[in-house]
Amino acid sequence: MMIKNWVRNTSTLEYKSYNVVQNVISFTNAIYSKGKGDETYDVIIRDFFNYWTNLIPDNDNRKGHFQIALARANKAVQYEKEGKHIEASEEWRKIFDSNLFPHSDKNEERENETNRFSTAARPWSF
Amino acid sequence: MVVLTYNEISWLWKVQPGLTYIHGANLLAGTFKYTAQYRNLETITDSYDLVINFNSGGILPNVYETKGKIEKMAKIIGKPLYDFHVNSDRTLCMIRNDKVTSMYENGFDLILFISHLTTHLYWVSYYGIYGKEPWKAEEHGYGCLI
Repeated sequence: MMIKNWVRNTSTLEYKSYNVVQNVISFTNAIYSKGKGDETYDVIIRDFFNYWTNLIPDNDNRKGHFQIALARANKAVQYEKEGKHIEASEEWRKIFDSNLFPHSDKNEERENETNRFSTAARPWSF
Repeated sequence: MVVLTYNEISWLWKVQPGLTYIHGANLLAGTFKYTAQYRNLETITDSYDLVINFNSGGILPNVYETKGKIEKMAKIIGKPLYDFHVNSDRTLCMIRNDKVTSMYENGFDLILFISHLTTHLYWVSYYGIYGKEPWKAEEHGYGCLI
């Protein structure tokens, strides 16, 4: 339902309802075949956009719409993890119909001490 | 073999309260949380369920991600698991083995290790979220011990 809402809210996006359903099903079968586990729904929505952004070919005119939605969803997920519910809801309201998606009115005080770094070891694997 | 001291465990409890040290097994298990930012790239808040086994026989412990989160990230962006620097034995490969002693020149150091793990998991999360490396990883190749 949420993905269909995104499609309806994105006027220039041509994405047939049948294909939306098919793509949601194939996404959940591929990534969440054992259920959502302890993952939150905002992350699952973000994962959906990420999954299809990487699968849709560059010449598909849906690609740009997926990329924009993914960028907004990434911001929303990060805001939510920082307790910035207002900013998170604003990002979601850019993706979904703002008349339907609620607007948060309060942020949460969280102690998120950010580790800022400029040098790091390079990961490896054999 | 590395065995954590009382002071190290006390410090760890403050900075990573989701991790529990299991004395008998000499390992840490639980949820590792971080908020980090590399240079001017995006800030990432994330968490991983880990087992950190100090009975590795080397300077650094073996680190395992236990809930398949990294594997899921690899599937989402259509990359092989080794691109996320998970070895075939499921250990995380945080550094080339010939560079371990230069980074840990005085042997294992828990504070340095937690910092190293934070930057490593930032790399993993960033690659999974944005599909590109925040900084260049080593080329794949034989020889990593962790």
